[in-house]
Amino acid sequence: MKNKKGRNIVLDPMDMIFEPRISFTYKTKEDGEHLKKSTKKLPMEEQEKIVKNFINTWRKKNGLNLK
Amino acid sequence: MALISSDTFLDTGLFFLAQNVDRIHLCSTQPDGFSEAATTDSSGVSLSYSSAASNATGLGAGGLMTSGDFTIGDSTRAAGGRKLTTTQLTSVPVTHATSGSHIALVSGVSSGLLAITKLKTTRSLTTADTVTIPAFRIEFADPTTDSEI
Repeated sequence: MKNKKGRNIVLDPMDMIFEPRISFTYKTKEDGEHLKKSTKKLPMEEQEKIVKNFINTWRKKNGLNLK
Repeated sequence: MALISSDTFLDTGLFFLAQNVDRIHLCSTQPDGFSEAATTDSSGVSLSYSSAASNATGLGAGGLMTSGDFTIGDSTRAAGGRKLTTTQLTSVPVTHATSGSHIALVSGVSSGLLAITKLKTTRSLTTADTVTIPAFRIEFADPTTDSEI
């Protein structure tokens, strides 16, 4: 049984917000020694391919089989 | 051009929390790992898995959280995205006298510390007290590229 002097304290937890940013790192054809970050310099098909590969790899690594 | 991520992609992490978080701990400092979050030493206070906690509204049998304590849906923020909302826990018994500044979501099954948030206000607590933990959100906003920021 609750002590008569006890209070019910209402806490105020902060919301957690994640804001993902996407960028790609790849080796340029001209100079394999340099790495450049860009989403603009890759064709859209290449970007989609990279994202799909990333998601599939992540799913396999984490044992997920989502449809 | 806006980037697009499917709900399934963003929900994966949120589902993981909903499926695996079974305990919520109020801690007096930011816990460094599961053991600090879950033990009842000076660095953390266990609220959820003492048998007395099963009296709390919002907790299941044995004072454990289940996937039913979490709701996943669209974010209402301008940035879009997906959110997980916890259920409000009411009249959770305080098992140790200390202060509360952080809330840790943990998996007792896998001994994992999965998320930590802070309280806006640190509160002093006694064992005569109970606490209400209002619903709070964990959100993944829709992605942006570096160039859009």
